[in-house]
Amino acid sequence: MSKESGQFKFLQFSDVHLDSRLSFLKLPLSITERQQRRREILEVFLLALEVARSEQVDAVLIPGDLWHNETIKGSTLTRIIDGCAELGHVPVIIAPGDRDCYSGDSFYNDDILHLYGLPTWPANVHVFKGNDFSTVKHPLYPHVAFTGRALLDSSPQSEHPLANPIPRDLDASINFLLLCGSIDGYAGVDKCHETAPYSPFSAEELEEAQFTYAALGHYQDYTEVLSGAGDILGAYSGSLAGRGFDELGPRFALLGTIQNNEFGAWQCNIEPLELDRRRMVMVSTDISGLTGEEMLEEITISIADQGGRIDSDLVFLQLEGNYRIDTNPSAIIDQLHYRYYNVAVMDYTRPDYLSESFDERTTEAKFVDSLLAMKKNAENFGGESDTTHTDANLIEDALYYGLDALRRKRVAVRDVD
Amino acid sequence: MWIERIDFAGYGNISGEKIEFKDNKLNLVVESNEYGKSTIASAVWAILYDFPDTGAQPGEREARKPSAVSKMPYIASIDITTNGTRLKVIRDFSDGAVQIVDRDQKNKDVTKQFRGPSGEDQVGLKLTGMTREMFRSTCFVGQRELDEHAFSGDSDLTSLFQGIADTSSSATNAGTAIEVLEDALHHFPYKGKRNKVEAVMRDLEGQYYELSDKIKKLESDKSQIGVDIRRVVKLGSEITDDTEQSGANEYFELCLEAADTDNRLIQAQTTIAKVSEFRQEMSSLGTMDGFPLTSVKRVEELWTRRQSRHADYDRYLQEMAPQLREYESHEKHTQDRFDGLNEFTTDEGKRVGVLAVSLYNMQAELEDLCQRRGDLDDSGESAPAPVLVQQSLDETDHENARSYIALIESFKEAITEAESKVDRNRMLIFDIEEQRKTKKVMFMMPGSNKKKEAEQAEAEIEKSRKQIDELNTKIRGLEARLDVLGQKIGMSSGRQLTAQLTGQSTPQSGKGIDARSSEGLDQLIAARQTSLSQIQAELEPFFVKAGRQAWDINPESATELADHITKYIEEQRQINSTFSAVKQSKQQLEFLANEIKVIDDQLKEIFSNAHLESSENIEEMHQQFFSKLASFHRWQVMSTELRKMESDMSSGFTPDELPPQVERLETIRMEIFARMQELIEQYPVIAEMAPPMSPPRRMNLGGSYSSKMYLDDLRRERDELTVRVRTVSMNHDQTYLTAVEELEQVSRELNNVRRAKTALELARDTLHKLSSETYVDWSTKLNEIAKEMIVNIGLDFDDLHFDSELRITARKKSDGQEINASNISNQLSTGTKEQLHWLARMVVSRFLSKGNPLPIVLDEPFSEADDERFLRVMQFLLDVLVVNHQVIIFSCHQQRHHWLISQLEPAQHAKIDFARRASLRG
Repeated sequence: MSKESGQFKFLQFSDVHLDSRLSFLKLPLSITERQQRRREILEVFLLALEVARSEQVDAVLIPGDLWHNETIKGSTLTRIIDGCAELGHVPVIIAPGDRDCYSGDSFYNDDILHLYGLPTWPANVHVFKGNDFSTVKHPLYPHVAFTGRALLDSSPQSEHPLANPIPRDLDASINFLLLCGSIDGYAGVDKCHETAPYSPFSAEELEEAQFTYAALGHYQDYTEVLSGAGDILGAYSGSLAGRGFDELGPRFALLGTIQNNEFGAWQCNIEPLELDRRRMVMVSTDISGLTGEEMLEEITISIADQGGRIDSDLVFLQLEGNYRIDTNPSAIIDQLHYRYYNVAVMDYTRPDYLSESFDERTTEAKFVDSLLAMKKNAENFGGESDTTHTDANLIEDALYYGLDALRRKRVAVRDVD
Repeated sequence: MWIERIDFAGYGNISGEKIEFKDNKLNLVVESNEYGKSTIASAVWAILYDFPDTGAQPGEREARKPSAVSKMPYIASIDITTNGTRLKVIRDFSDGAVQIVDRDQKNKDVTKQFRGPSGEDQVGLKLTGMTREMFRSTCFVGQRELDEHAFSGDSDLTSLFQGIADTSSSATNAGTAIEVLEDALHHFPYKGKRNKVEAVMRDLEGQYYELSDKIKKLESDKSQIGVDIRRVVKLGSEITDDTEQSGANEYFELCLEAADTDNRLIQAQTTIAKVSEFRQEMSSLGTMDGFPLTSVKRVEELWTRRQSRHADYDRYLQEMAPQLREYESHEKHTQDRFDGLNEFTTDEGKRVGVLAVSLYNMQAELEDLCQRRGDLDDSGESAPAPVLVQQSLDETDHENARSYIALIESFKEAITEAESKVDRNRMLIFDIEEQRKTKKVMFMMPGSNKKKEAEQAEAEIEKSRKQIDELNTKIRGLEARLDVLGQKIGMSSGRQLTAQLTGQSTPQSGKGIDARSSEGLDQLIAARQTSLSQIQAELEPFFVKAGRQAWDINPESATELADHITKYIEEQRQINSTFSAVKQSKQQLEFLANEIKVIDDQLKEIFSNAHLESSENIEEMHQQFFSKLASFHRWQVMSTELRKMESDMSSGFTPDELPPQVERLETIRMEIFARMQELIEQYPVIAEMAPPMSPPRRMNLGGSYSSKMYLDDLRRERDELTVRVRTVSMNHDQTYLTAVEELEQVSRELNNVRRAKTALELARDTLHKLSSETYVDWSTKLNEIAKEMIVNIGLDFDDLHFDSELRITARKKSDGQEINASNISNQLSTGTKEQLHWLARMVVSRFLSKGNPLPIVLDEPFSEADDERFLRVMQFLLDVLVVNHQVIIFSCHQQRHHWLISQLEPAQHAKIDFARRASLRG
């Protein structure tokens, strides 16, 4: 902290989800590639600590979900602890979230680490361990204090943590809040996957809590929370590194500064830093009616439009539409794999049989009508038909398998979820 | 539907033309090849349906485009009458645009009526009631489609009808599609292999349950860790002890921790040392990149072969050594004697011999000519004054002397003539020899046997020489007689007498003769000298080759050279003949030596690729290679081991990350020992106190459980739990996440396979059910139409029946006998069979066209039928088909169709119309 300017500098990041399971449905890569991605995420975490050191921050704030309790490995913990220790006197303040909650066997507990034969947390790391909010002073700057708490289990908690006044260090002029929870009105992709909110709160509640800055965790997307006057009350840094195509685009750590403004009040500025060289890019391309060359061109343009950087990003390409019968999308996909190493393709296309006219007297026409009716019926029954347990997609598969067999005398078995 | 005419603005190779067809007629387009018959036929489909979209591939649209030269738009139209409406369909093929006008309503545009709900082009579909492919398969009969073999089995026709009933496309029928789906179920693709879908599912289910059990076990272990941890915490709180014991406990724990740290430290240091050692050793082995490992086997093979060849070589050499020495001694002796002749061939030897003889003859002749020339000069310059001999010689001697002189003159003339002959022949031989050398003439050329000619010339020369010799002998005899006569009258020689007698008799003419002789001789001498020089020039390279002096080429040296060459070759032949076996062995040795050299070269190349130090000693290089191979193996083992170590994250760190960890562990270790020292200083007895783990449970003498023992047990339990927690967590770390992700993958694959199986089965079963229903439905309708049609046709059958599989059965009118599909093929005559098949086809066509009879187009039908059959089928078409359908036939067999006309009844004849292309302007 520069005494002349009175500026306090911090680095905030959360939702790193180290050693978490990477689902194929969100990251359609091989198991080995997913293992590689986990290693990359750990490297991004270590890079964040490196940035904290190079930027000479006064504190590192981690408001939750640093790892997943069920799957975190001893070797990863060792690297996390060593990395924090290398920061020396710079305090690392951690508020355990729902995935790395402070349970009975939490690795935030030195006794547990000791029991596992792992290194214990260095002195510069402070972990909030109680479910009630507590406050800790900055070891070097007594006018800076941090308030936070730990989530004790991973299940959603409906109680509003900010509904009642939160203790602050009244002696400190800068008070940080570290909070892992769901803010009302968040509109990120992960909101719709959330079964129930975790420790919900509103922006108003946050403003009323009167903290200089709130480092927020839990949600994946970078989101700033502003006061009625437009000042920054706090921010979600979002996930530090993407883990699938529900975490698209750049991911950030936040480099924040708190300093006195012209009126003598503290003002916070935050600068998002993109530390992961790999972005998740989702591209959806409709290849209906296109020739092979046109398909390739369309896909290339779509990837470019989405800002996909072919040499570094992981591109999830969703192919859709009905392709011309004289084209072969699998050949195009092969070419894509040849061109772009990091492209994962999900092929939802179908041959364009149904645009043709069928003579209603033929078996073929009856087959198409029958299966389309069956599919409609299945959709009307909420995805399941009344006679069988096959869902609408399965019936559609059957329709195209039948037409494949009739038209091409061969069947291309589909391999999509 | 009736096609009235087709107008071609520009379509294929037809531009600005039209063709007209009649209704209820058999329209014959009988023209030679390249007339455009197929183009006209294709235009019918193209105008009604447009070309099928072939995407980027060049399709029929491109193929039928009129040439740029014609400058005509790519447009064609067709005039049709359907259900009493007269329409014109105009198609612009450049973009597929279509316009339909009603010709009865002043060409009112009615295109809208022929579009589908989304505005799509449905002209063909609405006019014919069929899709393009169905229309083609029903109303178009291509070349050879009517041949007997196409109708020979019922299966073909049944599958044709089934195909029409099953799909609008021409690809296949439901039966084949069901087989395809069955095949997909029986050969289900999974991980690059094909297996029964059930087997794939079983395999995946096996994996699924195995992984599930593994995960359950790991999760159970993990929950047990939770229990263990709680227990350890509880134990910690239960273990209460006095200060000394507490110190002892801490000391003991520190001992454990120190041991653990030492253990990790040793492990890390060992790894670092090992990695460093490996790297150093690998570095000392030098670069092994590009070592031709794949060539090792080759080197071994080559080396074995080399050794084998060497052994053979040595054995041969040993076995043949005495003979070889002898052979070489002889050879050397010959070489020494005939130094420089070892390069000569037999032909060259012969050639030198011929040239030597020629040189000798030429030299002799030249000398003779020079002498004669000298004599002539002598006789001219120092002739004695003529002496009158008439008085001295008697008349008889005088006459004799004159006769002798005359004879001598005539003999000399004969000699001159013979010499000219010799010259001519020699020139001939020379020319032939020159031609042979320049290969202008081959001796084997027919009609000019130059070899024979040369031999004849040689014989002529020989003959002329003999003649010259004889004549010279005679002259010398006559001159001797003249000498005797001259001496009789006191003259010194016969030459004086001759001069006197000839001078007296014909002094002028005598002078003239002398003058002519001297000129002729000079010419001859010059010619001989030229020849002589030529022969010497020809001999010169041989002398040079033999290493002899080329400026000293004379008959003797040439003869000597020829003689030496002949002798050398002869001796060499004798040596070779005597030592043929030895020579063969020598050749064998040379062959072996050469082979060894080739092997050595190949080895050297491989050794060079292996970056060995270049050396002439192949044995040394071979040794070097295998020594490097051993190093390479070592290098490879170390490289693999190193990679393994480098990727080994079991300690949580890669080897390169270990050094700072070692430092950290060393610090921890020092801290532990410092603390231990502190404790010993504080409680000196603790180092000697029994550790809590040992001895194990024990009872005091009274059999009661002492508090010390209880505490020991608690500590022991705590330590055991600690070990278990660490072991289980390590196992969990290593396997859990991967197992979970594998389970997800297997589960996903299993779901997809199950889904694919169900979908394939659903497709198969639905197709099977619907095709059966379609066939039954069709058969009912087709039977109704067939019943109606067969009455009107008047065949010998009163019923044509389609069964539930669309197989046909016909019933004879005469005896009610039912003939099934296979018997139709086997028992009925070709004509009847074809009529029935035609009928069946027309029934299908009538059904599909919804009662609107469609035109039938035949492209070169019956091309392989004999005349009788051709006539019968055409009569059937005229009598039966043309009644309800417009028939258009394209053919190139003009004569056959003219013959057909001649065979038809007038009524049948009237139903034929010959159509031709005509200009649109006309």
